[in-house]
Amino acid sequence: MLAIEIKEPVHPGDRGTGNSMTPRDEGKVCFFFQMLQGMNKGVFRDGIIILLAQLLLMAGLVLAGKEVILDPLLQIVLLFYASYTGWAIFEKERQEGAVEYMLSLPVSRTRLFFVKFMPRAIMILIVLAFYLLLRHLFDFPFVLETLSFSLTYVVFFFVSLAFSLSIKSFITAFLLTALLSLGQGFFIKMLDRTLPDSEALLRANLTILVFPLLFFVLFQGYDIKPLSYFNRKYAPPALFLSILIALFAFFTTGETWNNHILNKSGSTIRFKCKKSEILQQQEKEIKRFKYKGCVFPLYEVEEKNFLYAVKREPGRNGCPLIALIIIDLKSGKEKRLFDIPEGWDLVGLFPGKVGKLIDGTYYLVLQSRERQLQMIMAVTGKKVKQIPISGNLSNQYIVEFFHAARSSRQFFILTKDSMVYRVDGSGAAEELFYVEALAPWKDKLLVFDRSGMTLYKISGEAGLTPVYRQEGRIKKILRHWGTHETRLVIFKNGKEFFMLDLEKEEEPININLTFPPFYYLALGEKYILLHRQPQEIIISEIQKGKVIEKKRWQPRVEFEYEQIYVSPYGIMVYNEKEYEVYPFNK
Amino acid sequence: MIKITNLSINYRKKKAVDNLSLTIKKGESVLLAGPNGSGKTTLLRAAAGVLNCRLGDISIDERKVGYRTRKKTAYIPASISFYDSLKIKEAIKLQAAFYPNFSYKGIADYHFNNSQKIGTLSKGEKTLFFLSLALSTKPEYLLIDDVIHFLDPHLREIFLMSILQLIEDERMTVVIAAQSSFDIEGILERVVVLDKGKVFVDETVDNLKQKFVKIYSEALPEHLPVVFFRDWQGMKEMFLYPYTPELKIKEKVEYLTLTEILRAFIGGGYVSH
Repeated sequence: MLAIEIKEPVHPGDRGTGNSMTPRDEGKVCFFFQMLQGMNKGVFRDGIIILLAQLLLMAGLVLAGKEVILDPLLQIVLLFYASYTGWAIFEKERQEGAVEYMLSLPVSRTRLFFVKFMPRAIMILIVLAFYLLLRHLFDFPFVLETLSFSLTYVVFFFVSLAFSLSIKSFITAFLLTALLSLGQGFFIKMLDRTLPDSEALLRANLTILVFPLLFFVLFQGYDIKPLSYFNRKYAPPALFLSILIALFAFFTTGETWNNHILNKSGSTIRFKCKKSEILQQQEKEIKRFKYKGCVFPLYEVEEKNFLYAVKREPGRNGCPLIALIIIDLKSGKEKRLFDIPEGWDLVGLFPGKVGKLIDGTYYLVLQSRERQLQMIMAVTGKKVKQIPISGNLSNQYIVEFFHAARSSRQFFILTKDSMVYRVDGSGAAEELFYVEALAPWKDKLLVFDRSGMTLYKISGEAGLTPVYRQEGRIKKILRHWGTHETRLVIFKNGKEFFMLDLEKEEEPININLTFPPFYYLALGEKYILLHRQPQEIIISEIQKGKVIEKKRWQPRVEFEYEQIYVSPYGIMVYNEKEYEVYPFNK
Repeated sequence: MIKITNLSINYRKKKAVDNLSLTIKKGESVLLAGPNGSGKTTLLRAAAGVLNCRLGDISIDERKVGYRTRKKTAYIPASISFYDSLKIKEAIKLQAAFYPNFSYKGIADYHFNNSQKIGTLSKGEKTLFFLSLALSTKPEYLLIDDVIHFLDPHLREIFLMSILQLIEDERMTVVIAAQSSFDIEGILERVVVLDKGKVFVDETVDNLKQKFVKIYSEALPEHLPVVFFRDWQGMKEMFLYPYTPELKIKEKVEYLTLTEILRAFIGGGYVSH
């Protein structure tokens, strides 16, 4: 009979010929001992190679005087390394056919995962620390700032790890990780251009950490069945999560708007080419009405709570005008009143301040540059009447249209060449005069010319009767986003500032103003002036010819110099994402 | 004790194990036989905890198969799954890191070079080394999937002797999946033949040898339990199971070796397919 020889135990450290080793004490086996064994062979070697590669790259590029490309190159190399280290967590088992052995080990899947994971995580952090140290010591120009890069690097490791079983090709796993991390960062940035790069990347990176979590959960049930079985469990939730992440990014990233308007009633309209919104503060809630296309507000009829607007929709040539609509501000419902023919454009530059309501009829002017035609549109209820403008202004481009007669339907037109025309109810136009600036109000017309200013009174169907004339180098102070039509006029004569209330039959009053305001208006008996400074608006009042500062408003919302809109309701500052309102009756 | 209750394991639509129930007592040595695809490997994998079972139950010493039962189990897959890039000494260290009772004992006087990589070993050497590693964990349950034939007859005999010793000394339970009982019959107590994922035969070796017979006849008798037949020189060679003397067969009854019995069962399995 053959004998079974069981050799005497020999310690593995003994470099003799024996293969035996000393029996170890029974009991639990140390996690770190497991971690440092052959199944993680290569992890530390790869880490050391990448550390040396960093040094060599740095030395090479610094010596060649190409520090500028050093950081992007290092960052790409490190992202590859992080991604590979994560993705290759079970690659050794896959390549060497040791998956079955690994799964038969007497440890839970959680412990097995961490036995494989920890050395990689440690090495990843050592390599990152080394890179950050190099960056700190040599201060070379960098692409992604420290925090953004560190986070992206760690996320590349984790997310690639989440694809370690599902995706057999490293390049695919790397590209997918890059798409989820950097790609999503770009997507968020595209949705919100005001967002800093680091924040967009932070958001993208944090959301995709659900993939390693999902992987960890499913790894608990990982077995020797073909990979397709694991993928059948992994792919649907992973796909679902990807869609969810994209939707989350889409809906949570603040939408950007081209413009914001504050209505007379306090509601806000914001719009861009593809969509628009009306927001109404109702007690503590904000009611929101959404519209397709760009709703460009024309004129709010405050007492009836509706708004005339024109609708633009994206087309081949930008956002052409589509239709004149009316919006019920209570329900948000819109009604189409008139389809605007192709090639016609609207007269009026200032959103919310276009056209005029006279005796229940809303008037506005359309013009066709190509055909050199203009027409007045009179909207009464749902009825729209077109009145072609005739006369000698066919080759003129109208910049503003206003009504300035209390009792009659006399319209005035200001052209690009600064000529004023009078148009009667039938559409017949008559050239009046050249102006430097003008200020119509009800039955008065204040005209600024090169030698001074004249106040006209509009009487009946007849012409203009001059009632006041002042000579000098007089300049009207223009209002930011303001129409010509105004009750209060502030002008500069030489170095002095004056105000004139066109409602009253009074002479101009000298005011102690140092700088011209960016906006002024009369609110009842109050004369309000607004001055702007970076991130601050100064609200003043004119009382008995004296300008008295009332309030300095520092909005929370960051705004640019041009991002201010004033209506009789208050002041609004805004940026592409948000807005803030200061009501005058505060 | 390994207790399998109503176990079903599917690969897509194919049932690898179909509502199978089986109990293997502590200290038993069992041969799992059956044609290719009968579910032998799947059953061993399930017992080793490398394959999850969702339908039915499989437990070892009244504990559901998991990492705790794996501590008592040594599983040797047919393909000898191991890290080829490791050296012998690294492989020993790795095994020692996961099994608290591990104490490496080489089988016979076969010497491995500590610095040799696993991948450079021959198939037989690799099998021997892996079997040595498995036995060094002092398993209570040894699950071997059709690898013994990789060993040369000398090493195979030594290995089987060492198993026999462990069965006697430690009451180790041995389950071997194989197509044939050639050379291992000496250690077997029981034979379980699987077919299409179900237990077709479950007998002790002695009983099976008594109940399985061969006869030659010109025609196929209808009342006899024929599991497999084939034409042989103008006669029909028939394998009967279960055979009892009460069947009163007029033809000459021939008793068979275990290897012949298994071959007949496997052949019968293919015919039934």
